[in-house]
Amino acid sequence: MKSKNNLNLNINRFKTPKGYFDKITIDDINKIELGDFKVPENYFETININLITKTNYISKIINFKYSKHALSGIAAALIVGLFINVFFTDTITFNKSEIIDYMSYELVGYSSSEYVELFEVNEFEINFDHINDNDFDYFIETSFSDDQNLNN
Amino acid sequence: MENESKFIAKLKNKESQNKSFEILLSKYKEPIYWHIRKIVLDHDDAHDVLQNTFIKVFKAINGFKEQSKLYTWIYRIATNESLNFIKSKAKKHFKTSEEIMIAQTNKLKEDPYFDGDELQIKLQELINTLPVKQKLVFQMKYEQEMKFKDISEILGTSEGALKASYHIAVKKIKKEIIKIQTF
Repeated sequence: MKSKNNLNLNINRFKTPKGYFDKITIDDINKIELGDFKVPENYFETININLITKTNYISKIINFKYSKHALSGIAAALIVGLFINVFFTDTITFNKSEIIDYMSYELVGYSSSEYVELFEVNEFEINFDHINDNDFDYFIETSFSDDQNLNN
Repeated sequence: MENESKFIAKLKNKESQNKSFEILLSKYKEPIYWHIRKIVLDHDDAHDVLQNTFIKVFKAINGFKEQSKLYTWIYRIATNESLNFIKSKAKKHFKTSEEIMIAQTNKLKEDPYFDGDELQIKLQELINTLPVKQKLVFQMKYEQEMKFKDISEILGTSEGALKASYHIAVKKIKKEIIKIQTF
């Protein structure tokens, strides 16, 4: 006699009539208009290649500006770090958190959140544990391109 | 538009790139704008996302492998950019994406670029309470009347799963609309 445990549970026993999902509409509740979304007058005429490239150019300048600040901050930190290392090695010791606090609030003038702003939000959104093939493809397709194209 | 492969080659070629990109913009700016607008709802937000989308298209065209149609690839970028935009906005305001979208729907009443009665605003509210995939498939099928095959390419989901999602979304919305109409 066959035991219940011999049932193959991998077979999908629930089926729908052929083309069932294709016939689903909500026409029977009278198609409701979704409201009228509008745009400012002549809006689409303002969307041209200059607007796209100009926007990107501005963002590049801002990034450069931030990069300059970041580099100055890092350079200052290195100089002071060297100074501390050479002159105070034997006399003063700091623990890690004291150094971080000092650099964050006194020396460099950047808080951790300001440093975070130096990077694009997207760079922090990659979670490799949950990433799927589509997300990965999208990230590869859209994140590693040749910026020089914009200037030509 | 001419043969798509030839057109893509022109988009990749530095000499013909700008002119070809202008053609691409003139063809797609309106449909892509409306696709984005239906996701983010606000005109200014849609404008920002539209720019980001075409910048990404422009930057990434050399990496486009032509495994999908050009227009589904652009829609895919627009969809991802819209969802990322909402996520970023939510993070900035310490809210969830759903909370942001509900707040955005509530603003529609005062939005000078939206004309709609109570029922239409309620419908937008219902759409925005759907899970993301159901919301997207509902908007693309019901509002934009796209084919499941194209939606499948854009969202990277099988047609079967999309049809099921659409079915569930329609059922939920239908149930709520009937409730509203009977009161």
